[in-house]
Amino acid sequence: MKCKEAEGFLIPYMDEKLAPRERAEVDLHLRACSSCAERAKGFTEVSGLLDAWEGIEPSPFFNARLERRIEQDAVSAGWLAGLGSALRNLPLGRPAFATAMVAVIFLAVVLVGYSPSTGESLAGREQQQMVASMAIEMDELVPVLEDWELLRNFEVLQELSIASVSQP
Amino acid sequence: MPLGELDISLKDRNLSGGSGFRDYMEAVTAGSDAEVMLRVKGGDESSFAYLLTKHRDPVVNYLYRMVQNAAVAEELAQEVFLRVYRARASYVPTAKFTTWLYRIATHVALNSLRNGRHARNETPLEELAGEKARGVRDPSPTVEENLVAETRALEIRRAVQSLPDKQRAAVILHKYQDLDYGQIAQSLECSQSAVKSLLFRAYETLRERLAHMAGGRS
Repeated sequence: MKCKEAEGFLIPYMDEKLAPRERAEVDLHLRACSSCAERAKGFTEVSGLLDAWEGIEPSPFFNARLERRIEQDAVSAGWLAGLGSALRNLPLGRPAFATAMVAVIFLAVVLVGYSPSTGESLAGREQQQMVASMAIEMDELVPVLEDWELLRNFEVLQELSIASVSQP
Repeated sequence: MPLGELDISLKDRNLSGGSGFRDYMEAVTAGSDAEVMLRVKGGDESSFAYLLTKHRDPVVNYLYRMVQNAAVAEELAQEVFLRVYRARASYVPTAKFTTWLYRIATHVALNSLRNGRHARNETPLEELAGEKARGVRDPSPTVEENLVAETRALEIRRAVQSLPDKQRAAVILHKYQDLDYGQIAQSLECSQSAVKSLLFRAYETLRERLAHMAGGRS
């Protein structure tokens, strides 16, 4: 028997749960292997140390508390059963009830699907598009405004200059 | 427990029918507490009281050693017995009652540890000595002996607490609840070889952590 194989037997060895032949094999290995022998001894010592850990006694009200919880549980179970039977006994046929449930779920999905944040993002996108198109238009206008000849011949400006001259 | 002690009668327990009788025979094979649980299934409240009386202390102590807090352990034990009572209608005695019970208890304990429910009310280990007032044993040692014993117990609890949850459960079920490897495997929902592996690793860790105490133990 090798150490790895012996490891699998050490707990049942400590518990004295091994068959006589297996126990004899482990004993043989432990006589030859000081490391495994030390481990087996250590396991038995740990088991002895664990004996020192005392238990506790439940509170004297444990049973009474449990009884109360069972009663409360029965009450809520009765309420749920009542609700279930009330739903089952609704004066609607099963297909109608199923249709109504589908409608409610559909409505819920639609309501959940619509959210103000989506609307905001849509409005924001429209605004961005508008600003972009205005920028493009400005780009087109700038060369026109820079063309002095074109502006000088612009009728509205000519009228303005006449009016300013004629004023006292 | 002998059948006569529980005054089992097929008529009393609504088990005269075909499937009921089969359940009953399976319960006889599986162990006496399973029979009693079948009486609970049949509506016998006093049988539940019997099971509670028999298993309450071991279950509370199992949970106490798992979560290391007496108040939380009691709360979890309440949950365990409530689950047992709720499951009475669907109970089928496929395993020993104790195995089924500890499977529920382990589930409750591991869930609690995972959710950190016990952490909110955690009692520092140093204060656990105060719980000794509710301890099972009542020795009359000297103050010094008490101090030494408390220090040792504290170190042991710390060492066990440092184990991973499943290893801790395996050690406690093995050492204190006296379950065999098959029962531990069913409680932890793993194979028997996995249980032996968990126990080996746990004992190895404890051996290293408690090495300084091992020599001086008498």
